[in-house]
Amino acid sequence: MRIERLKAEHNVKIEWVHFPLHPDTPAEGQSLEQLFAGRNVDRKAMHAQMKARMDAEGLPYGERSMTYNSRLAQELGKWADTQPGGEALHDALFRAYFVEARDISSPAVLLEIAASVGLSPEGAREVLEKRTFRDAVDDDWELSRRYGITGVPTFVIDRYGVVGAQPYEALEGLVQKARQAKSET
Amino acid sequence: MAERRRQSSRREVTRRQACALAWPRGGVMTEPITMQVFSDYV
Repeated sequence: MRIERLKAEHNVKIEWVHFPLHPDTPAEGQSLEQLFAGRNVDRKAMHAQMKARMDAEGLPYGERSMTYNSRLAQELGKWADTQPGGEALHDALFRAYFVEARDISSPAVLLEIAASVGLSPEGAREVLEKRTFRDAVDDDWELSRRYGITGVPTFVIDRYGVVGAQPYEALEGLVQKARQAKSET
Repeated sequence: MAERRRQSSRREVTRRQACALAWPRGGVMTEPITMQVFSDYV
């Protein structure tokens, strides 16, 4: 929603870069309890904080107990960026996991989500079976490493960036700062 | 002569109207800028 507003109000083009948040998540998924074990994380407080932020944005946010390996979803997302209207897949994947708590590591689930936003089922199947966007996601992970990204979302324009779920004004400020720097060079 | 001036004037009005339509209302023309969003779906 904030991103859509930025696009409309500030002529911003979005480039999604995939980041490996929990790349070692096993194929069968992992409970959030296990994931955060020993990390001194108050999951209830974290959920309440995220829910409040999403509510403020008018976005739905559900209860989850599991996390899943997102690698195939990322490869599918990278392919979707090359398809007309494919950017709708990003929102659909976020919704599938954060609202509906679906297993987005499952190829069957991914195919269903791709079809739901009008992407070609045959094209999506080929991406998942032949791993045609494996290198593209590897490049994103490498870029994340080079930039020193440690958390998501991180918003970057040239050499400026902001980290975390930021209010619209913070993203707007980032755009203005980057534009200002561009105009001075 | 007067007719030619009228036609030229009409063409100019049409051109200005077309320009006005191409300009965003209440906005400022800016170059697109690319924002990279580092993210994961989980």
